[in-house]
Amino acid sequence: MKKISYITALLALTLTGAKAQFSENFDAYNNRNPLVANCWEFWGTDVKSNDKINGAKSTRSGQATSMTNKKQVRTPYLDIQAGATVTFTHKISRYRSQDTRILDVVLVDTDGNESSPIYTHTYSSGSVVTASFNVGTTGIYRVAMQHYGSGGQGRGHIDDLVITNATYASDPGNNCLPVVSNPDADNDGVADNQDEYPNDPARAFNTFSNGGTYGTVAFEDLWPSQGDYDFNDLIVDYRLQYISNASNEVVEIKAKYYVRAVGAGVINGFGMEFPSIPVASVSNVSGGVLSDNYISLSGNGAEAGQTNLVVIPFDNVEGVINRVGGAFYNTEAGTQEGISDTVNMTISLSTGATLAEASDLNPFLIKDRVRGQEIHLADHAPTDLANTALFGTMDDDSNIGSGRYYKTENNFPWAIMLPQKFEYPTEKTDIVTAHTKFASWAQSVGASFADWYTDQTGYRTPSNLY
Amino acid sequence: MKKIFLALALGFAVASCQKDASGPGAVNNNVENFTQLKVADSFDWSTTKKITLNLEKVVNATNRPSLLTVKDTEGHTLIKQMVRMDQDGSIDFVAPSKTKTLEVTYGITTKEVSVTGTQGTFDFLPVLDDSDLD
Repeated sequence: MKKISYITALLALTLTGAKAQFSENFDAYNNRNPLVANCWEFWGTDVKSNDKINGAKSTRSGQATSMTNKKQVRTPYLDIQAGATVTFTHKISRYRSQDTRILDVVLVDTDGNESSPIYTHTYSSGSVVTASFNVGTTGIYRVAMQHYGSGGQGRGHIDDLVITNATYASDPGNNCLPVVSNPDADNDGVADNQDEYPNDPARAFNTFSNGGTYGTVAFEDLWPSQGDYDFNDLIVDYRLQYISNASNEVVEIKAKYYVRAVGAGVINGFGMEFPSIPVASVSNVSGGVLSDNYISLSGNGAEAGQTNLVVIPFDNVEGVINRVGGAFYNTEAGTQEGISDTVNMTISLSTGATLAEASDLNPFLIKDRVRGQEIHLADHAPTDLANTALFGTMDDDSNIGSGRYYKTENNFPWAIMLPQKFEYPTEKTDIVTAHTKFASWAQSVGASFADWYTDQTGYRTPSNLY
Repeated sequence: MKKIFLALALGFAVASCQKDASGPGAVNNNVENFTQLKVADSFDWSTTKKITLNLEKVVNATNRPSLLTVKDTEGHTLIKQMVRMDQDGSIDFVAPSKTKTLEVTYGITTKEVSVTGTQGTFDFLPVLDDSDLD
């Protein structure tokens, strides 16, 4: 019956176009926690069935036997409009005439200041009392119901609270601050104090690949022949910044690429496919360093001829690195270290992607600047422009039909990707001897030493790392 | 004599059931170089995984979207999403395969969430200090 009257009241309000009301009968909860999550405050008070007033539950205070330590329930911040009224039932359990028990209702402003009571009741029995009164003001307030008193024992109970002409105005994901204290300049639904683009309604948040640290892609470039497994033929560090809007759609990706090592005998390029982003969803790509005229771009700047978004950060690694002599770049111990330009790319999406979609990465090496010669991570499909005739040749054991790609017959890869900067082996040093837990990780199908690449005691042989 | 034959037969039987140490999937505990690795067909060499964080709604909660933040145990932010407390839901993101614990924050509530396989669950409910209750 209690629920039916609430629904009827709500329906009547809807049909008559009356202003919204805020109500709570406390029946749906096992304790106060869900209400606190929803920005209520409980001071020495819980939600219980013990001595309930109506329905399944009421609030139940601790012993209201102090005149100063008031047991109270405070609503979330509410936007109280003109004509607002408050109605609820309340009582004291274990009432004795010689004790003093009082209920005050006060308003709490956004600075936490309490008004003088807008309702007071001094109990003269243990019977249920119905309170009904006008708020008498407008603005953003919590409504606080405070039980206190002296002598004996007695708990206060509140139930069936209805506040008319009032709407919820707290922000539970923003420390329950009142919404008026959180301006939203671009009106995108994200408060300025949480909006990293407070004046841009199309952008709200930055999220970075690998939590903001650079990750690394490390290649062997002799595919389809097996390599020497030093995984330093091309070492590319990457960091992607995903910019999303208030609807959690990634609308822009800013990518940084840095070449840390080239232990190769041929000149390679580097590309990155986003397999979960159709190229038709992309409005613009910029920033790739292209010099050798074997990459064709579409009008939007993405690589032409692709179904999914493919960007080419560089088509010739020599165009972004600055060597200081030597056949190899940053792979031989004791040689002077060269530096790379950082390739900054910007990808604008016309149709937003989820973060999971935008985080789906398929990096690849373009071997010897021959566009069809792509080398990918294990079990990552080639792009539309790869020459699949090379599959199954030499040591490659790819099988398009079974989704097996870029593995040898012994399941060895030609590339690995790390979620942090990879400390790679020196020239011709087998990764197994440089990272001592690598073998256990690989042979356990990733179950053991999933952190093999981190700098922990016993994980590395420093003399084998560049 | 009968016992000797039985023991020999049992020995042969056990030997024939042992995995070929040189075959695929057999672990080599003395690996000195990459080509000695015994790697299962199913291994994809990935150091990351897609994690699904399931969100358990709060009954009668506001429908106002607000910010949920997920960090790793080193304090790196992995994802920020506007979510609603009044709906069950889930969010997917990529994290290192080594990830076993996430720190999830929604307003006043911050919780450590265990990741089992690729799944974790967050329920929005604050963990309260109930010392004010008697």
